[in-house]
This record gives sequence, structure tokens and C-alpha cells, in this order.
Amino acid sequence: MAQVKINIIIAGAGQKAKALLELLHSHNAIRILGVVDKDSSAIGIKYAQKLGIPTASDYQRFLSQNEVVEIIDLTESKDAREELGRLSNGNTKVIDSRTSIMEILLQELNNKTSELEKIRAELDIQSWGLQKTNEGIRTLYKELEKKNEELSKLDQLKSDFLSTVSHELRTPLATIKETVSQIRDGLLGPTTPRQQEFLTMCLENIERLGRIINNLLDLSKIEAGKTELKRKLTDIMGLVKRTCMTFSSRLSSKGLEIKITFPPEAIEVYLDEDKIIQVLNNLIGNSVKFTKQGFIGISVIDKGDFIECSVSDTGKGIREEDLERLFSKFQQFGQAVDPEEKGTGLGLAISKGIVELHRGKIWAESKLGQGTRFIFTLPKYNSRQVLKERIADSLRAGLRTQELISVLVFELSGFSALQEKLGRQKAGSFLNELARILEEGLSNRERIIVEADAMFSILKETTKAQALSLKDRLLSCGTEFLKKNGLDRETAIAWRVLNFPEDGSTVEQLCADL
Amino acid sequence: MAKKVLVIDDNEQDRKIAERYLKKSGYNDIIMAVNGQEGLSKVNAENPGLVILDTMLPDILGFEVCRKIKDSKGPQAPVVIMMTGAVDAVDAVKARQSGADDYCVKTADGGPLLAALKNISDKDIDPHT
Repeated sequence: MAQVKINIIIAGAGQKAKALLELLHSHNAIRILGVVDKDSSAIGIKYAQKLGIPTASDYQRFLSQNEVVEIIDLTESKDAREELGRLSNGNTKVIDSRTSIMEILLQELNNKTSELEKIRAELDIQSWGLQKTNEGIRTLYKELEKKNEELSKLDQLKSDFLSTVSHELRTPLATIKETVSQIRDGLLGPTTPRQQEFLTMCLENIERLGRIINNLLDLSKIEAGKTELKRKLTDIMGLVKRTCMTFSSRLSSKGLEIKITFPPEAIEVYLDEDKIIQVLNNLIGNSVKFTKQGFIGISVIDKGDFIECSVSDTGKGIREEDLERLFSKFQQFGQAVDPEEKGTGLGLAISKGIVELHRGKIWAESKLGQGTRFIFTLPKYNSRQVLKERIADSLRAGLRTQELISVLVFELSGFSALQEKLGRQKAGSFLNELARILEEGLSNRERIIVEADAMFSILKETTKAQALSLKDRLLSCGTEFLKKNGLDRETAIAWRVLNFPEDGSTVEQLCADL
Repeated sequence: MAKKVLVIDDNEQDRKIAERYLKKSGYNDIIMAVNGQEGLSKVNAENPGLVILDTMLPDILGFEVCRKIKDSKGPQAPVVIMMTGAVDAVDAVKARQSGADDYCVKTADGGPLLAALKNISDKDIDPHT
């Protein structure tokens, strides 16, 4: 901080004095000893008093013996100037310009400027650093992106390789299998029982190889995202029961019991029947394989938003450290002796893939020596979500081949009132009839898909404008149909038109709007 | 162009990458140092015109090494490019404060280093030419 360098007295308290006071009163290199004016009501006096600076009508009380005092002369009268002239000696200096003050201010300014320059240089360094960092991060990001791309290419290559190889393996395997069974069955001449025994073993292993190849194909499809679910609302309990039936002979031959626990009311789940049967087959098959005595328990629990399905057994159990790896490829923990029962090490990986495609979860709980429980969940969709999922599924399939696609959605408001009036079945057939009428308005290759109280159609190569005009036409047909049936008071048709890429560039974006 | 280059880096892989891209950029007289101490003594003994300096050295901080190089040689000091495996704004500022002429990230393709070298020859900030 600057030291006080000069003491000043301001002579004359006019407008100029006020301005000077304003400028200097808080400056730490200048001390204002006082303001002098004969007129005690002068504007400068008043202002000085406000700032707490002493004021007087003469100079004497401000002059000091051992300090240099400068008197800034702002008086315009000749008398005052003469008086000031007399005062000017050793310790007192009268100046009528502001030279010395200017010098101090200038010095101060220089200091400030160099400080500013320092700060600016510092800022330059900071911004240089930021720029360099930015460049570096951008470079690293690009590198990462490139690596990522390479990796996904490799992954794709792996999947392609796997599915091609599996395909190629199947054909010769079929020939081998056919030939071996013909030899075993004596079609190519007599065989000894010992030869037959070996050939049977051979066949069992050929079949196992076939299973492995099929599983590999399944898994590579799931991993490549090429598996399409053919989902529909399905009675889950019926599905579980049917699957259990197929195990009855194996169960009874091993002397195992099966215990099924179902909730009291039927539950419909939106799922791909074949795929979920595959999961159940796998889980139940595993349980049967590794359980020597006791029972297999199967339960379905309604958890509100989802169902929980579990398959438990009283088998030998799985070690805790193995539980994590259970769903990885080619992991086998139990040794099955019978080649017919030998697994492929892929079943659980496939099951996991299928359950996750359904947006469910799968996990296992186990106690060594006591048994294992496999649990998987499947989300239960309400009719609105099912509609959304179905549209999403159809869109996904369509988007693979098409650049331009529109979705037309119609919805009957007040459908429940309609159901009450007509009865469930009649309301349903009314809806189907309406769908048929609307479908007539579409070109041959397009279909209307009905889901609960709504229906939709996927229109390929259709712009939004085209879809909108088609909607107008269909809407008037539909409304007329409602009127004809005297139902236009209970219900009305609401609509939505979505277009790719206009309304969204991904299926998720498009469907988020529904 | 034919100035001597000193690469100070404890990682052999990184030294090799630097060497490869230096040669690509026309620098054929390349010497190596594996830590800060060795680097400083080689700067004094060999008078390189360019130093490629890692920020993380086993003995002395790279920034410290950079400051010592710049302080001891004054206006005759070599151009210093600091290289880092972990980009960090604070480090970049530290590099500049210790007198580095450039700061860039290490990558396998050497892109940033090549750009920095090109920058130097464009600006011709080599005090020895």
C-alpha cells in the first residue's frame, strides 16, 4: 500500500474544491488536512463536513511546524492569493496547479498497469493451459472413439464368424449323423453288438455337438442383436405347466417330484413364447440334471409391475464364488456323467440373453449341498405399454430396411364404456371390424394391428404429410362407422402420426412421444 | 533443422514413440535420458536445441526440470515440449509457468507431438538457428 506522501490544504471551497475532494479524499497517498474558505456555507465546505474533513476560515490551524504542507489554491480572489503568497515558505508550499498530485496519481496508475499486466500474463498462461488441455482431451477422445469403432468391428467380425462357422458345421454334421445311424441300424450290413455300442456312443456325441452348434448360433444371434422377439400377451401359468409336462418322464425315471406354486389369478405377460420356453427348459433341465433326490419347485409370483418366476431344486448346489460366472459362456460346474445329459455350457448365457431381451432380470441363489434357486423376472405391461412395445418392435424391424417410415396410431376413447354397453366380446369384434374398415383404406401390403383399445399401422416409404392425409381419410371412414352404429356419443377416435426421421431418429425417441 | 534433441522420459515405450516421430519430422540426432537428473546433466553436456520432456519423472518433477533448463541456459535455452499421459489443465498451466514452449498429450499415433514439432519449425523459435 502507498504511504501518505503529501499533506494538502484546499483553499477555496467552490465547485472545483468539491470535485477535488471527491477525487482525493479516499486516496491513501494524500491526506487532506482541511478545507479553507471565508464563506462557511460554500459548497466545498459542506461537502468536506459530510466527509468528516476539518474546515476553517483561515490556514493557521492546519499549518504544522514539522510537516510539509501543500496548499492547493483554488481561490479566485486576489487578496487570498496574496495571503497565500506570504505563507509560502520552508514547510508550506502553495501550488495552484495539481502537479504533485498528478505525479502521485500517475505513479499509482503505473503500478496498477504493471499489476494488470502481470494478471494478464497470468491469464494468458491459464488460457494457454486450458487450450492445450482442451486439445489433448479432444485428441484422446478421438482416439477412444477410433478404438471403440475398431472394437465393435471386431465384435461384429466375431459374431459373423461364429454364425457362419456354426452354419457350415451343421451341414456335414447332418451327413455324419445320418451315415452313422444307418451303420448302427444295420442298413449297410450286419454289425456286432460291440460295434453298435460304440456307434451309439458316437451318435450321442454327434447329437451333443449338434446342440452346441445350435446354442452357439442362438447365442451369437442374441449377442449380435439379431434376435427378434415375437411377443404376444401369454398366459404365463399355462406356459409353465406345458413346459413341466415335457419333463414328466425324466422326472419319474429319476424319482423326482415337481411342486408348482401359482398365484390364484391368471396372469398375462407380454412375451415370446418359444424363447421363454427355451429359458424354462434350460432351468428345469439343469435342476433335473443336478438333483439326485428330492423335488423341483417351480413358482410364479405376481409382483405388481412384473412377475417373478423361479425354479428351485434340492440338488448339490453351487459354490458362492461360482455364482457370478454362472451366466458366462462355456461355464460348467457340475460333471454330468451321462453324455445325453452333458450340457453345452451355453444354456444359462442364452437364458440370460433372452430374459434381458424381455427387459427382465435373471439370477441364482444357492446353498452348497442344499440346492439352487434360479429366479427370473419379466415385466408385465399394461395395454398402453404393450401397444408402445409393439409399435417399437414393428418400427425396429421396419427401420432396418427403410429410410422413411410413418406410424399411424388410432385410439378409441371411452372404450370401457363401449365394453359395458356392448359386452366385452362384442366390443372386441366391433374394434376388429373398425380395424378391417380402416385397413381397406390402406394399400395392400399394409396392415392394421389391434391392441386392446388402440390400433396402429406401420407405413413404409411414407412422409409425414402423406401419413396425415391418409389419417384424415381413415378418420372420416372410422367416424362414419361409429355414427352408423350409433356409438359416436360413447366413443371417439383419437389419433397420432409419427414419422421417422422427422419426429425422432431412434425408435426410443419416436416411442417416447406416444 | 539439424538440431540435437534430448528426450527425457522414464518409459521406454514412450521414448521409442517419441524417437520414431522425431525422426519422421527430420530430427536425426537424438539422445535419451531416463530421469530428471540425467536429463539436466545431458542438457549441460550436450547442448540440445530441443528437449522432449515427460511431466512425470521418477526423481524430479518434469516442471522442475523444465524450469532448471530454462533458468540455467537463459536465452540460449533449448525449446522444451512437455509431454503427458494424463491431460490436466493445472499441469498445462504449470508447464507454461515453468517455461515450456508446448504441452501435449502422448498418443500412440504421435499426432500431437508431430503437430507441436511442426509448430516449432513453422515459428522457428529455435534459439540456435
